[in-house]
Amino acid sequence: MNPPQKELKLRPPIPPSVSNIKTKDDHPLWQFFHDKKYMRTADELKDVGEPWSVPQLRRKSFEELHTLWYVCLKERNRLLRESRIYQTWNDQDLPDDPFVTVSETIKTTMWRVRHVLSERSHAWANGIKEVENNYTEIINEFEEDYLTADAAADREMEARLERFQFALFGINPMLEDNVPDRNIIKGLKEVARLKLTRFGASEYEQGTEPINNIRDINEAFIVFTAEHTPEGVEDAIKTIQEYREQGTDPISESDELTALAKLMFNFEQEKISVGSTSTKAEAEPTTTV
Amino acid sequence: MKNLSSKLQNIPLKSAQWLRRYKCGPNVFAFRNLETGQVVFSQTLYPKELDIQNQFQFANWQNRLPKAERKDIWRPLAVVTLPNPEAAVSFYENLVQLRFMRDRSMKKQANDWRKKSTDENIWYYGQFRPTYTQEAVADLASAVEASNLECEIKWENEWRRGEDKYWEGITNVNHAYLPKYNPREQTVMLKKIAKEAYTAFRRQEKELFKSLKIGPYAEPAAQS
Amino acid sequence: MKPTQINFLLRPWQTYRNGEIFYGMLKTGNKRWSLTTKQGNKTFYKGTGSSGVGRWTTRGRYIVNWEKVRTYVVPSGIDTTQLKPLVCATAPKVKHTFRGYQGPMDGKLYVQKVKDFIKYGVEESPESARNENFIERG
Repeated sequence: MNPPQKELKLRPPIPPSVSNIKTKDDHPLWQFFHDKKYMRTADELKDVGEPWSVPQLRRKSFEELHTLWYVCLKERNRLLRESRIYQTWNDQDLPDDPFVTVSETIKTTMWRVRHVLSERSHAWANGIKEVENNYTEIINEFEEDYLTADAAADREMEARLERFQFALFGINPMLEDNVPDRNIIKGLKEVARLKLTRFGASEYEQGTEPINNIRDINEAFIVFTAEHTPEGVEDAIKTIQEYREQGTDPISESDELTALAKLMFNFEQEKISVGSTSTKAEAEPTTTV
Repeated sequence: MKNLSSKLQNIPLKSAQWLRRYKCGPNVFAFRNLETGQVVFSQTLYPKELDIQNQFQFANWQNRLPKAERKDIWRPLAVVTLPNPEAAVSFYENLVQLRFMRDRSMKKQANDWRKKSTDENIWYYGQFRPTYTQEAVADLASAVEASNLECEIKWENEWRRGEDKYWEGITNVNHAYLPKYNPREQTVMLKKIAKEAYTAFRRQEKELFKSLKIGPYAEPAAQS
Repeated sequence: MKPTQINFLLRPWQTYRNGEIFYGMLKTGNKRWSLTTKQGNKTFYKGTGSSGVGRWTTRGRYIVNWEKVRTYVVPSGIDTTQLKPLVCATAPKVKHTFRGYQGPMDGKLYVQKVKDFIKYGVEESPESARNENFIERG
């Protein structure tokens, strides 16, 4: 049934071979290899550069420093792996291990990253104290700039006002990203006051009287969300007047937080509904044609 | 069985009939000893005492008699699948004969091929001598070529097979790999492979019988 | 005054007949070994810097408190970043000056930076800009 057998023949031992094994190109362990090389030569590590200096790092944001830290960490992992092999094959701890030398250089970058972060933290703590002491002075300085600028600088002043409210009160330009707190309420009122003072001086239609003070968070919010133009603020003032004619009492300080949360929620809903109607309006012609 | 000594002939093997009766696949298993690197070929799912008596007849201090009881240190090196039980039995016999050639009849040649340590003995690290596994791979290659049949070798991993240049002249072999398994479930895995091999063999045999119209498919004699 | 006999100063006090001390080759040195988990009294807890991330129930189950488990926040841009661990050695050396301020951690400088941010945004203010000698305000 089976074909006749061939002659049996002894063969030399067949050693196992790595060449049969195929590795995936995106294997995660490749992260431990530089350029998919088993090991770099000492020449390749000769002019790798120098550690980041502190002045260079001071210009980087937290995100960038965080990324840099991890980049350093990964590179040091690679170097330590290579160093280990280097020392094994040399059978001794060599004093001038090039991998260790570079690794130590990177370590310098890493401590400098930490140094800059701690420096920044201390500066922030000191800065907070300083702001508390000179709070009115800082606001007055900005107010003077803001109010004296002429109408041509409206755009510029709007941008400055946004940065002002962000820096001092933590109000994010995207209103829905904010979480209502006391500081934000304070900021809203401050910004509303500045806006009113800047644009309130312009003349109004007959029969309307100018409004100079903000009574509660509701009014502050109306002015805050108004456009940064005389017309925008004028509209806001009209709304406030209607609101005041209703005769309701101003919102007390204890209810301000809930009121603000409600206002922000309504504002967001309104934005969404406006967005959906506009998309509908765009979609309509395509359906009718 | 020309070259085998009289002692070897007396040791019973699993015959082709035995393999058929107990529904064993036409397989030959090679097990590797994790401690010593020795390899034992077997027709069953784990090495038996009989296999070891068969293949380590000339044990010495460098090639000690391994123990079949230590099932925890025998790991599959390769599983060979042949087309029928008769071929599997002769394949196993050939492997035993090759082992005999290495240990006795062509001892000098086999020893010359081995890597030596500084003391002129087989290279070792503790009890481990990697040459035995490498010789077993070479024996598998020889046996495959001698069998003159299409056969499949399921290797433990890509590494063990060796470079392609060693397999160049051998056209009747198909290399495959064992699935990834938990050592605890080693025998289960081998059993599954053996069962698959058996079903494949039965199917093939059935078709052969059908085409030749023999055995259960023989045409009844015309009634007259 | 008579000098103290040498064998009174030896520690441990028992010696072999040839004067060699009974256990150990040195008189001193045992006290400088590292403090392991096996030393100390019942309140001594050294640990391995691992574990301790939950509590045992009376039935022997362990409940992990995920608040206590270490997490490593990897920055999202780690795969796409252009930042390198080292910088070019030939790049000009920038220096920071803190004239008028106590140093990098001065609160007044921080306030000034806030003011500059309000006025100029992310652009550099004229005071903080780098001059031709690569000196800039910190």
